[in-house]
Amino acid sequence: MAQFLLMDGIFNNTFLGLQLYIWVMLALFLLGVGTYAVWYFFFWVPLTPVHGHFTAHVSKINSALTFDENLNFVMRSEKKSKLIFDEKVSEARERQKDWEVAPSGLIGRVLNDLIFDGGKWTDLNSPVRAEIERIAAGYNELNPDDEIHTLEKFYRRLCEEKLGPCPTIKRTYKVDWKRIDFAIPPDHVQTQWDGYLGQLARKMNEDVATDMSMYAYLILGISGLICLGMLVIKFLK
Amino acid sequence: MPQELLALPPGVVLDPFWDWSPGGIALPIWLIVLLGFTLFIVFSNLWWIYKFLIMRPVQGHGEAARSGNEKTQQVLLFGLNRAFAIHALEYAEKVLSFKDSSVRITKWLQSSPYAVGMLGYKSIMLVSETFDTVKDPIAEMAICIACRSHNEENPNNVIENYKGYRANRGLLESENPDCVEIPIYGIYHPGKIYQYTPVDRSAGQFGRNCLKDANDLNMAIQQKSVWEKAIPIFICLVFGIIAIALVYMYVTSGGTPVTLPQSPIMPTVTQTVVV
Repeated sequence: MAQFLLMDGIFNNTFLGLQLYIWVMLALFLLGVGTYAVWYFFFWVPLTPVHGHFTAHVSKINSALTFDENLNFVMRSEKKSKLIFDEKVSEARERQKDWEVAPSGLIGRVLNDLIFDGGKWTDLNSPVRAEIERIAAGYNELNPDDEIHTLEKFYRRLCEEKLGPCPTIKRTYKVDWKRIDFAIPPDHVQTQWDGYLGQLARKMNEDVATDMSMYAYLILGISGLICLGMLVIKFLK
Repeated sequence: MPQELLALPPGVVLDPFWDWSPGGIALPIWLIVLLGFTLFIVFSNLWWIYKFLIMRPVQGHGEAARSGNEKTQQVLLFGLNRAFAIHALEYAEKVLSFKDSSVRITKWLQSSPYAVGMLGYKSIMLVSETFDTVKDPIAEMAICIACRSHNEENPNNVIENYKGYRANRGLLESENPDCVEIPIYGIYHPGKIYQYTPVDRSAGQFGRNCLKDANDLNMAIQQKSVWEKAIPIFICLVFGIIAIALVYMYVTSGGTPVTLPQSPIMPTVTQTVVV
């Protein structure tokens, strides 16, 4: 049985009945678990709805933020937000010849589209989605030269009346003029943000007062340190 | 330098498991475990830092979710450079602003009840650098579609900017009574509405005006005189000087330990007997 002492057995000395290396192991274990838990619960868990961004970055695919008429946003992969069938994006791109690439912008290094979905077209469990899949599959069988694999192309062909009658699938969402008028208000008057100006002015005033009180605390702190220093010197003599 | 065990130094304890070296190499089990833990800590933290750097553009969601108060607002910001990012901005009295508002002075006014959505369990607003109010993408798409369909049908009265849109607002409503119909599925481009927004109302300009107006208002508020502001400093200064003087007097007063006279009572030993 081969046993070795490292560094003249410094770590083999005992503290509270246990060797020092066991204490060091325990400390490292707690540090490892602690840092992991802090990262996980304080950084990763709050970001749950946008984890798709990390997946898209690592997998080198595009992402999308889909939203409905109430602006409920969901972050999805390009596949789940654009494709009709369960297939790879690259395969769908080959089969559907006219593929429009028009990403709205970038989140970090990931191309991202903002997609309005007012009819639950991206909801895989909705009856509308099942209907879309059924109609697109039928169209693809009859039109091998003009296959439909994206929801965008499906919408275009739907508007061109090439998919036949689809009474269950809505084509448009109606936007009230009331909502439109709120979007770009013509009257740009200060009374709309007067309350904020008052708060901001008060904050500016308080900031100046806070600066002055900092000097007071500084004086008290320095005085305390000088007193402490004198006492320490006296008792060390 | 590891050495083969001959005699144990005093105070050193060997454990039959932890100090065993597999294969006779000078590497006891405890050192292997220790190195394992160290590598785990280093690599797991590097992995988290990597994740942190990637998630920076959407970091605002986590910040807003953690804050849990109504003053921190999750915002999706569109830059003219086509960069999107989620920020956690301050929301007060209908105005959105950055927390370091002295550095990033852009501000936005929330003027539409329809322009608030949800991402996760936190409400979200959309803003862009080009305009000073919160964006409603549905309404923007409707404006663009209404104006373009009008332009196709009326080539002699083309709406090409915000002034034209405002001038023809009634006409557009008569062409689209009750509502404007937008595609039920489609990609939204945040820059398309730029054509139909006023050019003199950027978020930066609004922020600058707010700061200037607030500063003017601050000047109008009755200010304390320099003497009034300095009163706490003077009080602290006086207390500080008094404290230093008292401690100095104590320290320089000799400070020899006081020796008590010997007690006239002789110490006795008492014994308690428990029966």
